[in-house]
This record gives sequence, structure tokens and C-alpha cells, in this order.
Amino acid sequence: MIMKTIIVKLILLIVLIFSNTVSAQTIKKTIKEKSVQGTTYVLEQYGSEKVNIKNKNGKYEQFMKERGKDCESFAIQDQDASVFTVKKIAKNVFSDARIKQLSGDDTNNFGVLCICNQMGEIKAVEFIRVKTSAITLQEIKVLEDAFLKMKVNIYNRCPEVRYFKFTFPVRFKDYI
Amino acid sequence: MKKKFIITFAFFTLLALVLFSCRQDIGNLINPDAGISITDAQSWYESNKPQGVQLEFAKVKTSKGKLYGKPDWKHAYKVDHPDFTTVQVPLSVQGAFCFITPERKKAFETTGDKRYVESLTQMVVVNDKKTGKTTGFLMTIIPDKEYQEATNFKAFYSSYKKWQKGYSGLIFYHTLEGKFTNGWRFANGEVIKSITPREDSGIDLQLKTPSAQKASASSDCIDYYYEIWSQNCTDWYTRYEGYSSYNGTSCGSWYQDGYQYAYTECYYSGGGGGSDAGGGSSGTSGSGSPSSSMTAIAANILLDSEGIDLFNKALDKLLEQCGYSTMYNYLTGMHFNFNTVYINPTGTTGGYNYETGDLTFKDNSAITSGLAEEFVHLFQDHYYSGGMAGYIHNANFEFEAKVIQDLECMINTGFCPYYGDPDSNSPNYTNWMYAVTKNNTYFPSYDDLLVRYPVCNNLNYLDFLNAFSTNPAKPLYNLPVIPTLTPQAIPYIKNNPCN
Repeated sequence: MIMKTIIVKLILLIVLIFSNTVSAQTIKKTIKEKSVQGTTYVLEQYGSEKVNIKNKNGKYEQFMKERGKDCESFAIQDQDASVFTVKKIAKNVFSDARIKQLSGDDTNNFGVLCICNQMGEIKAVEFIRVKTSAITLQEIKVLEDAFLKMKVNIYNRCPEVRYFKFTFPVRFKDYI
Repeated sequence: MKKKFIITFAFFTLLALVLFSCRQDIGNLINPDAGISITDAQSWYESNKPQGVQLEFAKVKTSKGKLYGKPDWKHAYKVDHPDFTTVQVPLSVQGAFCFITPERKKAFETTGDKRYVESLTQMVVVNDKKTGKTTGFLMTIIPDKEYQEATNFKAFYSSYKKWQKGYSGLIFYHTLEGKFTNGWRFANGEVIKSITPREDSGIDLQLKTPSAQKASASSDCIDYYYEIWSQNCTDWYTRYEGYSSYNGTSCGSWYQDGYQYAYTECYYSGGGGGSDAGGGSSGTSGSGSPSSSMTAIAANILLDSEGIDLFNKALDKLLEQCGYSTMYNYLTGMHFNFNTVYINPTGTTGGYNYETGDLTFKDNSAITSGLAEEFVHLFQDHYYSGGMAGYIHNANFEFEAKVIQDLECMINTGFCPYYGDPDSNSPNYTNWMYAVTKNNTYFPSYDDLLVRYPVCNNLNYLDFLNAFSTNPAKPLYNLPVIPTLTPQAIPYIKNNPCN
């Protein structure tokens, strides 16, 4: 009986010791290419159904290399303080019914990585954590085209930095 | 049997009533260390007191100059709140003084009833239960004439943040040095207006029209003042050989002794005709004037009008976001603020000096981007036990401040530069931000930040902190990490959503 108890405790101890390692699993990255209306996108998937999407011919990485050192403390704001441009764009791309549908599940939200120049002109975008079962590649293309026409204000821009990286979320419940 | 039941029922009811009525005392017995005692408050005051409590209110020049007072500890009392304890201390003042509203002045002049010439100034020592931080200031209760009359002149039963039922009137706060910091106007127990000091240093308020209400240079605005009335008192002693005996005190008549600026109300004309067409707006947030939010968070503002406008806008934008609003409420509730705000062209974008409490910006253009971080540092300095000075200069405070900015940006759907990202060429921090905020919908707890998500290469808060502290691209933050210093501002925001 005592032996049995000791064995059970030892097993528990071993499980506890390795529990952290068990949760810290690594996942496989899957890369696919898909085309829509003549534009090819690279889809990187990290195990879950969330996918990072970038234009195969986009220049995000090139600008990242060319941007120089990190700007320490800059801020980005809309040119028109009264409206969040992303909302305006999203409402142009998605119909009200579609926004309502997507807003029902927070996991449909995704993020956009941006590179802009000193003038605040968006030069490249990437989409992150997109649920491809909810958002179509066609919609991604229309969004990309619209975001690339966007312009923002940069505050405290470092003069020696050519490009600025920032991100913004697309959250559908804000657009209803 | 029935009789026994009734007796037992009555006994337990009585016991329950006694326990209920004594619940605070019982709480104190169970947790006698909660808050500070009057003795602790006195010790704190002795270590922090100015040269006598100087009742030189704001920039008012009274005929006598400064009025000196001292705390009357014999009549001090303690008030317990869930998060803090206050010790309220009456003041023993050379002579007497009061703030008087125009209505009360008129009532006094008509009736001769001296009760209309009463306000109450006390010293308040506040101790935060969590951080142990103690601060002190003067609080003045100035009830409205109607409220005095409605309460039969028993209108002074308020203590700090525990206001008398239906209180209507003003509450003024001054530093222990006597400088006016801010105030509130109450109506029926509710705050209806904040009162901010006017930063027109160098102007003798007595040179302005000595009226309780007076049009300012701008015809659209009216500055409101409250008169200070004083009374000279004399102690009478009979001297005998070798000793003297006190024979009472007599006071002279009340006389007007100065003016206290209260607030400015501006009216906007409806366009054409020049008449006031209603739609009145209160506050001082016009061009070049510090807003009430700004004056509550900055004691001395040495920015030009452009800088003040940028600061107002940046602060307004911050306070739209729940996390900053939570920190702001804590800071202003505890009367913590930046000391002096000014431009330091040789400094960094923004800088908070925890030794002086000063806030600096490299130039005006740095205010928009730099305020958020320094605001978080101000909170950290006052919320962490021992403040920032209690630790060596470390990466922990810096990284936490940046993560807070990033999280707030995420859940408030702004454009986020990711100040805390230790490697902008890697997607790990970005993916982590999306994971911990559950796709921009959730402010995480510290425990959430310790979870390792595969999507960000199993990195968590501590890994990013370590990488941040050694990031060669940001040498300014290559600082030691204190392993035992866990974040405290993040949990505060999490646990006090928009309080």
C-alpha cells in the first residue's frame, strides 16, 4: 500500500516537472500561395486557422531593410482627427450585412502591418491572424488596395528613419 | 416552548444588530494595520511639513500677507475607505478666515448672521492602503447659502471623498504650502464642475475688478472669484508676578481680505448679432489654456500656447482610453501630479524625473508621441511601493510602460507602433499582442502575459522583457532587469477598469 502511494506521488511529481514543457509546444509553419485577380498572396499558417497574408510582390520586407534604425518614440494618427480612416475603408469594402455577420465573432478580427514613409504614405501592408474561413482573399485584395492609398500623420518622426512600421487592428464590431 | 423561541430569536437579532453596527470596529480589530493611525499621520506631517501651514491661498494678496496655522492633532479623526485611509485634522489659525460666495456675503450683510461667514479648512492626510504612500493637502468646504439654510447651518459634515448628504457648494484643495491646486462644485451631492487654477502668474488678482463676478478681458468669458474674509483675534492674558493666566479670546469684525479665483465660464455667441445665444460651455480648454484635466495632472505648466494645446489634445486622447483614464483617476484622486512641465531641447523625446516630478519634452512636436509613456511613469512612480526611486534604474518600468501603451492601442484600435517590440524584424511581438488581447478585445492580466503561445514562438512577457533590455537597436533601454519586480501597473489597470 505504501509502495503504491509512493509510486502515485512520483508520477504526479514527474508530470508536474514536465507540465511546463508539455504546454510550450512548438508548431509547424505552413506556407501556401494563392492568387486572386492576378495578384499572388503568400499565406503563412502557424498551426491554428489564423493565417498571415502578404502580397508576393509586395515590398514590405524590402522597406523594412531600407528603413534604417528604429525610431524611438513616434506616434501615428489619422489625418482627419474626426474619423478613424480604417473604419471608413472597412465600411467601403464590406457591406453593412457582411460587417454585422463578421462582428458576431471576435475571432474574425485581424491585424494589419503597415510601412509608411516620412510623408505618411502607406507603402506596404501585410495582414496578420486572418481567419481565412471568414475573410476571403478577394476581400483582402480590396482592403490592400485601399490601405495602400491611405495617408497618416507621423508625430516626432526621426529624420534619419526612412520608413516607419506600425500596426492597426480591424475590429468589426466597431464598424456597425 | 414558544417563549423560549422568542427569547432565543430576540437574543440573536440583538447580537446581529450589535455586530452589524460595530462591523467597522470589528474590521479594525481583525485588520488593525489597515491604513494609518493619527499618530502615523502626525509623524508623516512632522517629516514633510512646510514651515508652518501657510494659508496664503493661491496668489491672493491679503492685507496681512500669509496667515499661519498649525494642525490641531487633538481633534484629528480617522476615516476609513476601501482603498485608503484619511486623517482629517482641523487647523488652529492665527485669526479666522473664510471663503464667502456672493450669495452668502449678501445674506451676511442683510441679516448680520455670522454663520453665513463660515467655511471649513482642514488638513487631510491620505494613506493608500496598497502602496503605503502618504500624501497631505488642505481641503476647504464652502457650502452654498441654500445648503447652509437647508441643513440649519450644519453643512460641514463632509470628509475627504465622503460628502455630506446632498452637499451643494464648493470643495477647494490647496497644497500644504497654501497653493490652490483644484476644486469641485457640487449640487445635490453630485459633482457638476471642476475648478482649476489659472496660470496667470505675475498678475495680482486684486488688480482685477473686486467683484465676485467679473467679465474678463475676453468678453465671452466670465471669471468667478470668491472673496476671502478674515477676522483678527486676540488672546487676552492677565499677567501676575511670575505667571500669566488666559482670559479668553476676542475677535474683531469680519472684513474682506482678498479674492480666490474659482473658475471661468465661457459663452459662445450663436453667430451674428453678437448676443449670447446659449450653449454655454464651462472649463478652460480654449486655445492656449490648460484644460481642467491638464491642471489636475500638472502643477506648473511652462509650455507656450501651442504646447498647451498639444498637451490638452494628447491628454484628451489618452483619457478616451480606459486604461489611461483609470490611472488618471487614481493619480488625481490621490493628488499626485507632474510638478513642472517644460521643454528641454537637450533632453529625450519625453522625460519624467522621479526625483523632481518634472515632465519634459524635447520640443512641442514631441508632446503628442511622448505624453503617454511619461504619464505611465508618473503612475508607476506613485503606485509602486517605494516609487521609482526605490529601485535601481531598470528595464522593468520601461518595458511595462511600453507594453501598456501597446495594449491600450490594440484594444482601442489605434495605429500602434509597438513600443515594446524588442525585434521589429520578427513577427513574434505582433503575434503576442494579438494573442494576449484576444484579437483586440481584451486587456490581459499579468498571468495572461505569462502564457506561452506557439504563434509567438512560445515567448511570454518575461522573454520579451529580457530581449527588450538587451536590444542593441535601443541602447537607451539596455538596463538591468530586476527579476523580483513584477508589473504592478498592468494588474491595476486590469483590476480597476475605468474606475
